[in-house]
Amino acid sequence: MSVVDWSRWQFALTAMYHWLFVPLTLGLSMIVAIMETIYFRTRDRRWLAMTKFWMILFGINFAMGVATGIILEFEFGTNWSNYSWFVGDIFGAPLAIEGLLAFFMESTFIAVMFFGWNKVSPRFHLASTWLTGIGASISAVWILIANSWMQYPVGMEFDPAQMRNVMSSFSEVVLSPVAIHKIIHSIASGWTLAGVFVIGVSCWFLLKKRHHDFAVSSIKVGGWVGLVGLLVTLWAGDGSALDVAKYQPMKLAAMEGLYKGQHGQAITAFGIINPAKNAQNDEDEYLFDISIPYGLSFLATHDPHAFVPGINDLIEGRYITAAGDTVNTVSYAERIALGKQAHEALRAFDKAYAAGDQAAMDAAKADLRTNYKYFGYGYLDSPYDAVPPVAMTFYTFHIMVILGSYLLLFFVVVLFVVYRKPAWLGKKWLLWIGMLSIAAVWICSEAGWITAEVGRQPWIIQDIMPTRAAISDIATSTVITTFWMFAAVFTALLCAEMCIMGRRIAKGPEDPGSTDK
Amino acid sequence: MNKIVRFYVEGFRQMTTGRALWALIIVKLLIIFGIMKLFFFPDILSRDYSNDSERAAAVRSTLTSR
Repeated sequence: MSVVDWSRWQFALTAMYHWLFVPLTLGLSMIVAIMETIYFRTRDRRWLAMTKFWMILFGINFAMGVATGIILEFEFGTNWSNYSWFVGDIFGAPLAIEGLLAFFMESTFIAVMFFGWNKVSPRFHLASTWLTGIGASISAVWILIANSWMQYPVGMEFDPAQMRNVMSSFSEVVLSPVAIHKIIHSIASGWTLAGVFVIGVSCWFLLKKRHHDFAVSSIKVGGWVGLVGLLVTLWAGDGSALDVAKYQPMKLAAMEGLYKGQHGQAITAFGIINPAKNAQNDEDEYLFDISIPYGLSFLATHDPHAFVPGINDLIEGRYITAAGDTVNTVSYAERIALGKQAHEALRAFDKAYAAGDQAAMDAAKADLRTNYKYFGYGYLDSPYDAVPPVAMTFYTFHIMVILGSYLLLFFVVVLFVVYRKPAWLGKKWLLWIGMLSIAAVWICSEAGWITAEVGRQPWIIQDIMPTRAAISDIATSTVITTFWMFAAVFTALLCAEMCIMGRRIAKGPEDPGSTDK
Repeated sequence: MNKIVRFYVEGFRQMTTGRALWALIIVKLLIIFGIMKLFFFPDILSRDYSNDSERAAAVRSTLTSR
């Protein structure tokens, strides 16, 4: 593997480990805040015991996750130095805001949350618990804005003298539709994940015939938070699908393994990709598939009869109108040529800059601006280099959708059982499903990120910079060493968290004692 | 100020599960900053060039030659 591949694997490993902790922090903080609110309103100490139990699990997860994201920033400076410089303050500003918010908001209120029982007023304590959760979500918002900009770069102008993209509109960066949908989708998915976690752990207590009332009340809160989170995630996911169809159509085509699109395009509900298929042959796309008619057209545009382009349509720049006419847009071969012209303009600028020739610099800058939107294509050798890994994108997308659909059913069943058929909570098989669903929700969450990040390959910044251009001049052996170092350290950390958390869960909640009333 | 310091000190003193967690956090931070950052993750452009103008020229040269 090349240094680019090792660096990508390293970044993926770090980001995926980091994302094991983040969604639980986001969701569990909300669940704890809701439980403490109920305690605050009722003064029922059972809710206090519940709040404290889940708060400790939140604390364990928070402690394990903290600083795992810092390593991603190290990797930007070492492995991806060209990228880090090139994105300039657009990426730096949200990350700096995130760092400040995370430090001041979370570290202040999390201390009150854990140390403040009986030392601050109940109202102030409750406010701190909510602000810890809100602070964690706001931190996530800035990271997601930075990520969204890479998927849909807006609100910037490229300055060849600084060799950086300079932010021209903060609001365009922060309020881009891609950012809005991604923020809502990711944060709400954290509520879903935490809901399943609370239900799964509570099922374990029921299986062991311990803390029955505690478990049932926890399942009710987890069930509602999870269901609301999932419905919001689905709604935002629908918005993200429209964004992908509009701004990253190649990713959408890869998500569906679609090579030749049509009007009223069906969506594959389940399928097995033909490994022999690629954009340069006429093999069948699937070995086996079950499709829903008009599904992809509806998902991509909300019009069941709309045209959805496939991978080959996009490469050839072919779009078919509603009237059936074929319209040629900019093919990928043309994009590569325009990208190379942009590179030539940058070289001309470099020479003029060295010579101090302002007129030549202005002329080169104007040429560069004309084709800048295709700048990244100039690094590609062939139009087929712009096709992401189809199988991985397809399977992870479908795993996410299938598990997401399962979780919707899961929450509905859980809430039905806990309110209407509580006797079923004694059925072992049901409790085992509850516990095993913890693994399902984490797989679903990670699969979503793999779809988003692998599906946008080869781009590190959509259309502007491919990963191969972003990489630093570093030795492959260095990246291999740190890759395995991370793998060892993070795996040890994960084992440590699971041990500490397992021990704390086994201990169970404190005795609630009598009520205040 | 004293009150705030006392708040934190007492809080840490009363921790149970938290002590093991803090030990893990400290070990983790030592590995991340004391080993990884120090020996394996230099900021390449900051290390190799003394000012922003040189860094911009280096990136321009790299991105026009790839």
